[in-house]
Amino acid sequence: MKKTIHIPIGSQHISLLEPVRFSFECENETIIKVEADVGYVHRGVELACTTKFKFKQVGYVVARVCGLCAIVHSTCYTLGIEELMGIEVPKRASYLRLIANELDRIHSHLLCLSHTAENAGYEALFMRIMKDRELVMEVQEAMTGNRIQFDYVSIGGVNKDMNSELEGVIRNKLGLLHQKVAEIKELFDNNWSLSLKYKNVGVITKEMAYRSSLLGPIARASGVNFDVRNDSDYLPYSELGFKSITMEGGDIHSRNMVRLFELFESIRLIETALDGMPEGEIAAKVRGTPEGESYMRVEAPRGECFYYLKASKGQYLDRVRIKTPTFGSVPGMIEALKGSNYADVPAIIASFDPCLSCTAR
Amino acid sequence: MKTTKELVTLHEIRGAIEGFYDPQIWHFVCINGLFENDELEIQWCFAKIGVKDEWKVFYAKAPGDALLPSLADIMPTARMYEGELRDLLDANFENSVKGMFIELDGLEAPLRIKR
Amino acid sequence: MLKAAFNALKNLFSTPATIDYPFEKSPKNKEARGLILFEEPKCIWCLKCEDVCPPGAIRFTQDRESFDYTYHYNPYLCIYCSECVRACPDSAVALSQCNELSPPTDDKNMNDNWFKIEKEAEESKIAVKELKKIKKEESS
Repeated sequence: MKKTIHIPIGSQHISLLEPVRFSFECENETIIKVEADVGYVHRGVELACTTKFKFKQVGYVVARVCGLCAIVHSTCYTLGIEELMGIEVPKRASYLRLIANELDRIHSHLLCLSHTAENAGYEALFMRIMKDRELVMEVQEAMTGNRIQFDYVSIGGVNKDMNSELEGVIRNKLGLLHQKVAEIKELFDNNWSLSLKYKNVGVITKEMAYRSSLLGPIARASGVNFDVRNDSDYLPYSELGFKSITMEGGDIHSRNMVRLFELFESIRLIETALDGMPEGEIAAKVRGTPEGESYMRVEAPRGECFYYLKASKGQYLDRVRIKTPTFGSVPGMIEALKGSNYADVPAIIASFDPCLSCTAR
Repeated sequence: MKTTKELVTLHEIRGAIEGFYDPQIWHFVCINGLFENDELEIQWCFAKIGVKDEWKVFYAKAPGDALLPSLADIMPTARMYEGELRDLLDANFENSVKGMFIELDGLEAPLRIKR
Repeated sequence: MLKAAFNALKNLFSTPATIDYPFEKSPKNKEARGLILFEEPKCIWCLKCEDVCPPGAIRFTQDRESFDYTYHYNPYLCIYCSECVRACPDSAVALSQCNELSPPTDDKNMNDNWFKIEKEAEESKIAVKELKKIKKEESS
């Protein structure tokens, strides 16, 4: 008689937010083997970027790779193409880009936290976090003009300037958000279903994280101090005294905690950036065509986002290679799922904050 | 940005990366593939942890239908990128199967298409 | 526990955070980016906006006899990126952006007819180029 049970989950499932399929081999309640299939929403963005769109338009195309981290993709692409064209970006534009990126991180992390709460059976907290997230969305709309697809970054600078009135709005709303996040953090720390239940579930040890080259909040929750904001100088993070957050637990609880502490860090970064906002132009003149190869990374809310660009002095690029954070963390996800209880699966998957539209592009 | 590119042959690549890769110092970013002049170029990209913008890229050139070595036992994440390149670029890595992104009756190696 | 009970009581009597949408208009931000407005008298017909628009929502067709351009704009393709507004030269400034979003419409230039416009935009320019060439040869 066969001793194991085969259970598929996905591609459409009530606990999954996006189309991904896992198939588990279970021994009683324990998972012993996992297979993942991620390519359900492949759209061929890489091909379109090199055949249909000119290099000035590609920034808007890659922004559509993902709805949640749209600005990360366009920032990463733009930084790469600016390096190929040798454009010096004005300091003010760099600061504005950083603020937009951090706002994006705040709203993405809040969304992830709300879903983890929902998967713990805590619908009320889900509603509450979504309500507080509305504050960031309003700030984003006031700053960039759109709620989700910002189209804020363009080659040479940014599209919209900041004025003192807007600065007041941002400071006001972020101050409010700081209080609310502090309350949410208290809940995640003290509430039984969110803290005790989530401890020692889906553990990833430091060695495992290094071995499967994990990235983003998941790696930092396992004690790996790896953050592209430390390792890249293209956005002025080091000028603002950025400190990365690491925790040792490696379980769902520490991943949530890393995200919560990063929210505070992001709010602090935005406020510091507003204090030291340099005056000047917001966009540089763009002339010429790109040439050469560029390797560029930006820290997305879920980890490291990588772009490889190759161009040879034409209107069209030769190659655009996109590596998105979730794609790199799928092997880690499989490791975390092995040996855990079947009932914990939705919580573990939600704690990885998977973004499958990014992954399959 | 400091990028060091090193050309290796397909036979040397395993030894070169085994000797070089220490996950605590270098972060394995991804495997990148290009198709130019009827030749595949595969790049293994690494970035140094804790150092600003330092890259190390191993690259190898091969004819379009060559059997490429799989490095999934050294870096488990490599399995994902190999599967992806198998679908999009028809780069024939060891032990990789088609069908991760594009259905089997879909386009054949879309990234080899030129304008 | 006390705090939770207090919060629950407070929430019982507070107004909902959502709005009563179809009966109440959703709030509009004055900084929001929306539709592109076009002022024909100012336009110098440089076609820079058509070249730069990522989704191809601005198209110009050319008349085969008078060589005049006609401006076509598809508000449902537009992504409100305002790349065209920035591309518009300082000597013209014919394009501007308002904060209205695209309304439901029965404009007959949408859907299949828009594809016809796209095709016509490409073909008419090539045709006019050739017509001009022939004229030049005739005059010389």
